[in-house]
Parts: sequence; structure tokens; C-alpha cells
Amino acid sequence: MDWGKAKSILIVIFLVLNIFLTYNLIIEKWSPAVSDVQIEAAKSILKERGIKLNTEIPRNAESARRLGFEGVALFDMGKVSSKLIGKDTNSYSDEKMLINGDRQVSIDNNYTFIYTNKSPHENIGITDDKELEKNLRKLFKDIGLPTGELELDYIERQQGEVELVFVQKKGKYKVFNNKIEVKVSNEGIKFIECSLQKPTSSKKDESIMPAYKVLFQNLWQNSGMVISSIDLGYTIDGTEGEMTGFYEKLHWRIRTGDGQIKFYDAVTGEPQ
Amino acid sequence: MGFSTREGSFMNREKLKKFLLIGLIMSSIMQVGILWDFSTHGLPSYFFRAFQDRVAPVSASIKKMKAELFSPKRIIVSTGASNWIVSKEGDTQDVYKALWDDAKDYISKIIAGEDIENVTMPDEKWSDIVLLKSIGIELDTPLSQDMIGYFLDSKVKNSSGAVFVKFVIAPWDSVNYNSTTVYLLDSNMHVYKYSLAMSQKNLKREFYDAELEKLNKLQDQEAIRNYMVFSESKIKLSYPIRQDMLVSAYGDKYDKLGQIDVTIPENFHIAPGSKLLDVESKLGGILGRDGDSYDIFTDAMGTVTMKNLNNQYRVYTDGVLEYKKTGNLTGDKGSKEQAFKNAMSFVEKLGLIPDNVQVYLSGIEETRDRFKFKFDYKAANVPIYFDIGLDGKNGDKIQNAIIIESNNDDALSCYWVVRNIELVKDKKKQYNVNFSDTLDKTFVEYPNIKQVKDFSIQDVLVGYRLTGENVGLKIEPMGLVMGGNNSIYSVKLPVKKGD
Repeated sequence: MDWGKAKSILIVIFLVLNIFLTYNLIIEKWSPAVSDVQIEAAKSILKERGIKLNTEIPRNAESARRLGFEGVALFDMGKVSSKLIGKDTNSYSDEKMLINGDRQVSIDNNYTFIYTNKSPHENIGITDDKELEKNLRKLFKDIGLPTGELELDYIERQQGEVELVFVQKKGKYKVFNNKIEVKVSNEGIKFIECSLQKPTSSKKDESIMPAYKVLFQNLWQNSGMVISSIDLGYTIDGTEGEMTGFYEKLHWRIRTGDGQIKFYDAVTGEPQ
Repeated sequence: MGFSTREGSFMNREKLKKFLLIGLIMSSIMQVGILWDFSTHGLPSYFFRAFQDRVAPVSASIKKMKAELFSPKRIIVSTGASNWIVSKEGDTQDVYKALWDDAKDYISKIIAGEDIENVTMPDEKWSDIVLLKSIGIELDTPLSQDMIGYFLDSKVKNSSGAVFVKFVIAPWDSVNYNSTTVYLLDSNMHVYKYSLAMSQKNLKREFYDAELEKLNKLQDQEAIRNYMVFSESKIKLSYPIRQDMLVSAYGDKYDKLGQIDVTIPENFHIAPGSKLLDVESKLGGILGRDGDSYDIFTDAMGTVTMKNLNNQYRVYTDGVLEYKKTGNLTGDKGSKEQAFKNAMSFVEKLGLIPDNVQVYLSGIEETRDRFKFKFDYKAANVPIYFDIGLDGKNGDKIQNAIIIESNNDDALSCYWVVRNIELVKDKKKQYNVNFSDTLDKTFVEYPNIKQVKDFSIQDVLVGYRLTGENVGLKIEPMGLVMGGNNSIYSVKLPVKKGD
């Protein structure tokens, strides 16, 4: 047998095979994880099922880590309370509720508080969304909340009152449970509920199921539904009792036109 | 010289081709792997795992566990006048092994329905049979023929559904020196008699006679205790008591017994407020290779919950591990043997059996869609009984070291009292193990015992009683009265004065 010739033939065969595989790798690597065709097909199927989409279907299909939380606050509760009602929680460590006139702060745990004011009189301006957000961010900064990590999630207006929800943004994703809910009227800020925990660890996660697959998998008998937003973010899966440590993983959040929110595990597509 | 230069250049070219070819082959394998990974989110590592699973032989530890689980509660050698318990350890370990191997051979032949004669005996004959010159084998838990067949890798012919409790092998009961008689007692107290031919590998009557002689000498040297079959006592009591029960009634009341040191393993000590990473590093081992898929939660009590789509483990602060298969439960009830295999695989996978104990199958229950298997431990052949209140679980109690529910497909749930158990060295004491003294003490300490509905005495023995309170302590052997309906009454055994 002429080994030299055989080797030459094998080199040519493997060279061709390598070129073919490299081409496929390039296609796989640089083509979008979710194609336009898939998105268009998803839209038309949802339409057939009687579901109206008032938002774009996201194309995320990467993998992401889980975040671990262990009750470490992202802010200084003492500073917040002294700025809001003039009383530092550190001086009243046994009390769960601090009151100063019409203002009060109740403390659920070291990273959650609720502020209420029965007779607010701040000139915060509620007519312009942008202006309102800017003023609230300034307030957050003043009282020691991490403004830079917060993103405005949504605004709702009803009967002279505006409700704004800010959520923490960690990298590309929202952390849905790390949020500040504010209710503002013409008179000023009536209510703030803030729960902000610091992620203390992270853990390897699996790949994410694209949003269009989650919609296919779960929305069968939802004729008449209007989907107003689809986001990817962290939330806890199946809580039981009060926990001191837990991991949050990525979930698809679907908000409907009537304000309902549903979460779907971004790895399995299972509803929460 | 010119020729050798040409040859050298040819050689170099061929060498180059060889390396180029190897490089191209490796590159194509790598690219196939990466593409595979893209398409399946996890391969090729999963591919190799799948391959490993396929080629992995039946785990050696499963085989070992199977052999360990099918071992007798007691082997009793009886001369008709004396009754000795042959220990698995010490002076009698060789004869124990020989007798048990011989018994297993006869049991295999019986359930395989080999060329043997059998008759059903009147039930009341059993009290006479236990007094025969014989070898008695008591099982820890009643076993069906199918289960025995599974343990012995033996085929089962015409499984009658009978569940066997005791075997008595009586070579002297046969007129013919080449055959032996085996009596079986089932859980309904029915008695069966089998006549079997002795094969080449069976022990001969001469061996039995020689061993009887040796045991007699050991009794003379007070190295082995002579027990009494309760029916020999002729005592009449106002409540039912098992007549074939072996009791300690003759000779010295005291036996030298050790204590056990019981602790919760270090990695199951989860302090409230523990860091998630610490919890993972301590408990991650029980999750196996898909540990990454688990969500971990801790609560203010220190309870840890670890769950993924199909499984949920919960570790309580008292060292109890709870497992539940979640999601869509699939699989038929299937056969008891397959469900048992799945239970054993689960036990083996978790690997939480303490090093210094022997595990045994202590109960089998059956419901509409699953089987429940109970496992317990023995330390130096002394049984350990569990009586643990389960935190946060509506006052239920766990009375076994391991309780597993399984079906044809998988283990479905489990409670496991996770403990380290060490025999305390050089701390043996002389304890009064006399049957009458134990019984008298029980009636004093439990004055209402006879008013308990359907009260009966099934056994009186020595064992360790492990509760939620005596963790971290040295536990002394107790006198245990086994009542009906799985009730256990425990009393402290008196220690010999000056010991």
C-alpha cells in the first residue's frame, strides 16, 4: 500500500470536512438565536389563537447565572428612615414601626420598608412622566437608595394618582423582586414600598428558552388576551414561608393589558 | 550522499503529512463536539455521561447492599434442650456463615419448586417444631417468595403470595442421612414442611453434630448464652404473647454490652443564617451530578430546601432528610422487586449509611400505587430503633432510619434520619438482659400497657433507642418490649453493681 498517497487523500478529505464544519460553526455562532422567521411565525400563531401583541417578542436565548440572596440590604435603613421621617432606625432597633406626625416607616425586615404620609406637601409635579421620574430619582439619591441600579419598570395613572414601579437592573436583566413602588398625588409622595436586597452569590444556570417558545407552550386558551410587555428578569421560584437565603433564576414576565402579571421559568417554560 | 538527502526530504514530507492529518482529525472532532453542544445545550459532556451510564456495571455497592439486606435477624441453633444464638462476629462467625449459606441454598430450592416434597402442617405444630433439634432462621421482616427470589437471584415457581417469617432446618428430623427437613412459618402462622435432598454443597449431619458439640463447649465456658423458647416456660399470662419467642431466662442475668455514640454528621449541621455557598458545599454531594440545576432556599429555622423541576430535598435541623419526587409523577406501581431495586439505588446514590452499622430491611408496605420500604441499622448486631418527632410535620414520628416509597420507575419519597453512629470502645458494661426482669420493669414503667387495645408481646430484646433528644450523647442499650401494632416499650437495663 502506498501510505504517502493514502495520507494525501485523507488530508484532502479532512480538509474538506474541516471547511464544512467551520462554515457551520460560523453560521451557528453569528446567526441570531431567534430568527425573524420564527418571530413572524410566532406572531401569526398567537394571532390565530386570538392573542393580541402590543409589544415585541424578545430574542434572548442565551444562558445566564442565578443570583443568590441572603437578606443583605442594598441601602442603609437608618439613613433612609432619618431622611424620610427624621428618625434613625438604629436608635429604635426594637421597633418595627417609626412614626413622626403623619409620616411613618414600617420595617418588614432589614431590606424592606414601607413609608406612608397621610398629608404630603411636596411639589413633585405629576403631569410629566419624565419630570416625575427625574424628581423621584433625585429623592432616592437623597435618602440613600441606589439610583444608578434602578430602572423604571412601569407607570400607571388613575384618579389623580400615579403609581411608579422601579426595579433593580443587574447586568442585562431586571430583578423583579428588588423594587420600589411609589404612589404620588398632586400633593406629593403618599406611599413608598421598597425592597432591595444585594445579590451575594451566583450560580451556573442552563440555557434560556426563547420567549416565543414559552408563549407557544403556555398560551393556548387565552383568546382575547392582550400582551403589553414581555421581559426577562430574576424572580424566585415557588416560595414557601419566610426564607433567609435563596437563589433567583431568570423568568419570562408577561404583563397583560389588564395589568395582570405572569411569570414563566425561563429554563423550562413552566408557569410559576 | 545525494540519495540520502532526497530520502531525508521525503521522510520530512511524510512526517509533515502525518502531523497535518492528526491535526485535521482532532480539529474535526472538536468542531463536531462544539456543534453538538450548540444543538443540545450540554453535549458533548452529556454524551460522555450517557456513555458512562451505559457501560457502568451494576454498582458493586448495590450488590453488597443486597447481600447485606438479606441476612437473618437471628440464627438459632437448638439441641432441643439448649438454644444458642449464633453471632455473626466473634467465635461463631465461621459457623454463622456456613449455616446461612446452607440455609440460603435450601430456601432457593424451596421457592424454585425443585424436586421436593411438601405438605401443609397444622398451624399449632409450630410450637413443637421450634423445640426440635434444628437450625432456626428468623427474618427481620416477613418476605414474599418473589422478594426472596430477588435477593437470592433464584427463580420462583408458583408464588403463592405467602410471606415467610421463619425457617427451621431440621436435618435430624429426616430418617435418611441424605435428606433434610425444612419447616416454614408464614405471616399468617401457617406451617409448611419440605423434604429436600442434600446436595454435595450442603452441610452434612456430621458437620451439624460437630458444631453442636462446639457450641455446647462455648456454653460451658460461658462464652455463649443458652436461651429459652417461651413456650417451654409454661407460663400462662392474661395477654397474648408469642410462644416461639426466644428469651433470656437461664444462667447469668448479665451480658457485656457496649454503648453507641450518635451524632448528626458535620455536613448536616446547618446553622440558621448559613451562607448559601456554605450550604451548597455541605449538602451539594447528595444532589449528585445535576446539583447545578437545584434552587436552594434556607429559612430562619435553618431548614434547607433544594429543588429542581423533578426533585425536592429538604434538610431539617434535626438531621432528617426529606425527599419528594415532584412534577408529573409517572410510572406504574410495577412489581415489588423493581420498586425495591429503585429504593436501593436511591439509598446507594445518597450514600448516607453510617460506616459502622449494618443496614437491614425492616418493613415492606404496599398502597394502591406504590411500595414503602423501611430500613434500619444494627450496631454490633444490636438493633437500633428510631423514634424521632419530625419538625414542622404535623407531629408525625419517624420510626425507621430510612423510609422510601418507590414504584416501577423511581424512588418517590424518602425520610432519612441522617446520623453518624460509632461504637464506644472500651466502655462495655454488664447489663441485666433477663427477660422476666425486663418485662416486670416494663409493666411498672408503663402501668396502663395492658389496657392498650389488642395488646400483645411479639418480642423482648435488647436494642438501642434513638430519639430526637439523645443525639450527641452516648446511648446505652435498652430492654425493648415489642408490642402489637409496631409499638415499642423501652426500659433502662440495670447495670451490674460495681460495673
